[in-house]
Amino acid sequence: MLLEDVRDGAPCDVMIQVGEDSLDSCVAPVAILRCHPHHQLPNLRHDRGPARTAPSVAVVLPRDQLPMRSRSTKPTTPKRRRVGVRPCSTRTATARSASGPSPRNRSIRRRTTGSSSDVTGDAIHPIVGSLWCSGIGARDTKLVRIELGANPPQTCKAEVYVPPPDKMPLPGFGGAWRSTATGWSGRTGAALIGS
Amino acid sequence: MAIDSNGLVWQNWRGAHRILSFDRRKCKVRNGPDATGQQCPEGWAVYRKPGPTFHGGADYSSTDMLYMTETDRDGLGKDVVLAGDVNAHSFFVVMPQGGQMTTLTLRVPYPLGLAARAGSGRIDDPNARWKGRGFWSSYSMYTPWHQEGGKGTKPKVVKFQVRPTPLAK
Repeated sequence: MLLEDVRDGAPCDVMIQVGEDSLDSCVAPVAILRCHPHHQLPNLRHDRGPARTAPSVAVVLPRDQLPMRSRSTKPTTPKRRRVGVRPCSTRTATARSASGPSPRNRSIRRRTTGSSSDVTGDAIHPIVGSLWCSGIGARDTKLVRIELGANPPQTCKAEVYVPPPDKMPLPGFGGAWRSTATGWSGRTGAALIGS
Repeated sequence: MAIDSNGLVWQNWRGAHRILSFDRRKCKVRNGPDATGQQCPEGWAVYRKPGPTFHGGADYSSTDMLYMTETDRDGLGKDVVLAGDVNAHSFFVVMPQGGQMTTLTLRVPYPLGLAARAGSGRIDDPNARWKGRGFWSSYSMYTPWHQEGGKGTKPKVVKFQVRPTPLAK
C-alpha cells in the first residue's frame, strides 16, 4: 500500500497527528467528537466482527499497526486542521477481550502529558478483560490492574501489587549495585558489561 | 508481561534471574487504604533461573538478563511461559507438568550469540503431533558481528521443537 501511495499521491505521515485531517494520514483515524472514549464513533466497517482472543491481539499501539491506504490520494498540502476537535489524546491503545465484544474494552485512550511512569508491558486478562501493566526502571516492579467500569474513564479503578522483598529483592531493570555505588549491568545484545 | 488462560499474570523484571507469577484470586485485600502494593504477598510465586552471578555481587546480581515474558499456546504447549535469556543463548521456560510448574532451559549451543527477545508458537500440521508444531524466535542482537562468524554474520531464525518424551517419534 505504501508503494502505491508513493506513485499516486502525496507523501503521508505514518503516525496520525492529533487534529490533522484524516486525508493526510496513512492510517485512517476514527473520529473523536469530545474527549472521552465513549464519545468515539463506532467503527463498524472494521470492527463489526466478534472479538478475537486476547493473547493474539492484546494491545495494538499505533506504531505497530500496518499502514492502511488513505481515503484520498490527492495531494493535500498544506495540511488542514479540523475545526472543533480537541487534542485530548495522542496515543491510542485498542484492546479486544476474549470475554466478548464489550465496547468499553475496545478502546482505551491514554494521555501522555504528565506521564511519569514507564510501562514495560501490558496485557488484557483473557477472562475478565481487565488491563494489566507492569512498571519498569529502577525500583519499579509494580503490577497495575485497571478495571474500566461502565463509564470510563470516570469509572476506572486501579489496583497496585508489588512483589514482597523476599521474593523480588532486585531493584529492577538490568543492574546490580555494589556497596561502593558502582552499577554493573550486562546490556542487551552486547558482549560487554558496563559499570 | 503475559497472562495465561487461567488468569495468572507472569512477569520478569530485567536483571532478575527469576520469573514471577501473580494470582489475584488469592488476595485477601485488593483495595482500600491498606492496598498500597504489598497487600498480597500470598498471590506471588517465584521461579528462579539457574545461572552465574557477578563476583562479589549480591545474590540477585545475575549476569544474564531475561527479556520479554510470553505465554505460548501453539508451539510448545498451553500456558508455557518463556523469556529470552539475552546473555545466556537460551530461553528460560516455566511450564505446567504433572499438575505443577517446572522450569526448563532451551539453549542454542551454536552458532554462539543467540540473543532472543521474543518468539511465537506456530502449528504447521495439527496431525503431526510434536513434529508439526514449534516455537520460533531469532538472533535479535543489535550487533550481529559479535555472533559466531564475526563480521558479515547476519541474524538467524531459530525453531524449537520439544518431544513429549525423550523417545517420542
